[in-house]
Amino acid sequence: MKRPEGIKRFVLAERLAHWLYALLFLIVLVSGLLMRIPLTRAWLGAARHGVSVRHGATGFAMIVVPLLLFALLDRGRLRGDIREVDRWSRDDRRWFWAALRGDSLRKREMPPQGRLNAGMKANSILVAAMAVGFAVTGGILLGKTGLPAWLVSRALWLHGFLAICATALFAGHLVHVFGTRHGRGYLQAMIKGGLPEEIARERHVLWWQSMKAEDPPTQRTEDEMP
Amino acid sequence: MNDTHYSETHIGRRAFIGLMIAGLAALFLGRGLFSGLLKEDPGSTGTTGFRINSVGGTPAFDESTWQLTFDGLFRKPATLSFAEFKALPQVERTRDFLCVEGWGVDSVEWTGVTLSEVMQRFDIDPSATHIIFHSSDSAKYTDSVTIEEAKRDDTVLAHALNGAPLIPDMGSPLRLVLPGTYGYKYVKWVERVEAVALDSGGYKGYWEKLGYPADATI
Repeated sequence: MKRPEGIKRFVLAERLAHWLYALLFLIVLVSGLLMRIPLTRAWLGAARHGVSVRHGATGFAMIVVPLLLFALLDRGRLRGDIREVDRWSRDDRRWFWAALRGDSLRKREMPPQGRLNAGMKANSILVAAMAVGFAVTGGILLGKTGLPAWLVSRALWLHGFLAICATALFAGHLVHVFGTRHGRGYLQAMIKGGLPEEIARERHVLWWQSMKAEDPPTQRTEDEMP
Repeated sequence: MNDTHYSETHIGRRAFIGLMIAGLAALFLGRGLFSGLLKEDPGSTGTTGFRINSVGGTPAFDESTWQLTFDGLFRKPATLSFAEFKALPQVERTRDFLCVEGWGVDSVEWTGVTLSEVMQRFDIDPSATHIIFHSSDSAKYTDSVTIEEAKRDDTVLAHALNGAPLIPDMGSPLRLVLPGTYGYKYVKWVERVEAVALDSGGYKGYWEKLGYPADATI
């Protein structure tokens, strides 16, 4: 079997969960916009109710499907990812504030990072928090009959606000992936599993060092495991 | 992983919990902020705050030819011109409006004729259980109210909103107003009012055939 390029970064469960989540996100984004924009809302007419129900079902799947994938394919990896996102070193905090100041964009030296840098960790926290926010507000909007009007109104507003935040995060994600050399490396890692070694060394030196120490001559992804 | 780099702070869970608290606070507190933002909704119709929703377009209204029919179990069926309708005793009712989509408008003033006045004037049969409202739009939108709902003093066939005649997109010339229920009960462009006797299954209007509950109580 052909050897993947780079150092093993994402296992199959992570990659499948990522791409399924992305696909489902696009579906809820498009269906949400169709229902929100006055022109398309009028165009939908009677179909709006069906779109609304499917929008909710897809949102539910966005939470359940990735969790199911991890549960079936690699439960330990999910626990490991959560632990990694949760724990921030001093370097992570320094990296985060430096990134907010724009040091990374100015090509200044950044504090050393592990497999996930602080930006990726922050992104993961935001995505998880927004998933819960969407689920709660979406649940209120779907089961609104009998609920107080003020709660339904605020749930609608918050749902829309979260949608704007999620879309901005998604757009930033795409700019990062397609607009930078290392972003394309990350894309490769999310497709094939392996991150190009020079990017690992430049941007995730702590992780690169630990991986080299574990398996110096060759790095293999689970795809090539017998 | 090198544990010395990961032993300091559980920032991930703290940030997550912080965001959850912020979300709950946004949901349950800050009513003024939310009502202010909702009123500035870009899809709304200027100062009224309503968004325009229709399933069959906006029908034309010509006052010289328009007619409103009361039939079915009304023992004195009638057909009124717009002038004759406006000659009936008029009331004003100020109530909040909430759409099933979640947006709302506070303190809307409706002007029109109560359904209880209509039921009395056109002598509704005691066997009637529901009143069905037929719209003149191309989708033939309908919905119904129970007799109990119709008897309330704020259930109104309205021709004016906040002191001005209804604009075409808002249901001109006549719109049903049923406070305390979601907006899909507020049938626009009403041209026919039909009293019926139905079994416990009741009547399924346009959206109710598509899954909305017939009882749209908020």
